[in-house]
Amino acid sequence: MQTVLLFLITGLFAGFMLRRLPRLLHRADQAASLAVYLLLFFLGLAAGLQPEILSAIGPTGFYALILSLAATAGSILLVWPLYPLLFKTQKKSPDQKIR
Amino acid sequence: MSSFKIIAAFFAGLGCALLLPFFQKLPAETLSSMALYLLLFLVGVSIGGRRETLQMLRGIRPSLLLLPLMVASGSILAPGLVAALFLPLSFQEGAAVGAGMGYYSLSSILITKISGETLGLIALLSNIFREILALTMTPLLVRYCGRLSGIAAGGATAMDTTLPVIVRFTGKEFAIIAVFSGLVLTLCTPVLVTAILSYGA
Repeated sequence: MQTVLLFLITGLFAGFMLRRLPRLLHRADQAASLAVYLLLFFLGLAAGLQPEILSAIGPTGFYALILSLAATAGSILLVWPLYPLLFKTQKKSPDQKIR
Repeated sequence: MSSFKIIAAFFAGLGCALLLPFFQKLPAETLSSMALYLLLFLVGVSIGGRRETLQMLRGIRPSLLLLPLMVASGSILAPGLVAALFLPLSFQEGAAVGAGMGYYSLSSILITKISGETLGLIALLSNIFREILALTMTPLLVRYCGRLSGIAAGGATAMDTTLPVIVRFTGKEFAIIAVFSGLVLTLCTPVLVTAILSYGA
């Protein structure tokens, strides 16, 4: 957790220092998009190498899946009404890309 | 289509690990940590370079605690109810698994210690699934289930693993909020899991 925050804060600081160089920042954005796929590939790899992963096929895995769907759905449902409550004044940012 | 690409990347990794001996020699944990750190640095750079970030930091207010509070409530109550009604598990067991908030390493160790191997394994898989769900479904969720749904689905992982995906599809102006919510949940997870399982014990 400390390492996670360290990298994030270092990045924030570097970004702040480079704020006058939009082209470089844009490159960082592009690199981040690519790195997402890289991370997902490695996460899949790590999951596949866990000895427990094979128990995902069977009742244990099925219960786990149901519970994770429930947790995800439950948290989304309860958070839904918060958006107008907490972020009423916020507009959609123009640079939001949905590709 | 990005949801599909993200899912494809994950399953490509999973398939390689299961089928190709070459990939089984790779230190996957280390590689994924390194990719994550690189990604967090890049996300940091891209947020840090924006003028709006300072405003966002000033915008952290006590009412924002409602966000992790609601994520935690939903993550605990829904699996508890589902477990009690539809699965051969008690409300308490389902709730404890849900209280992991996607923080699978810690929650599965805690639950194994308190309730034994079987529930510990369910907790491990369930919280891994939750992380995968958040990573892969965020593009769709944000589009159809409200702007905050990515942050909600990510749970404790909204501060690290799922942050890059959340930032990309929810918008950069929510990066600080995602980290805040994830951080609060990460700190609460051990307390909640332990509290739920020791209740009445």
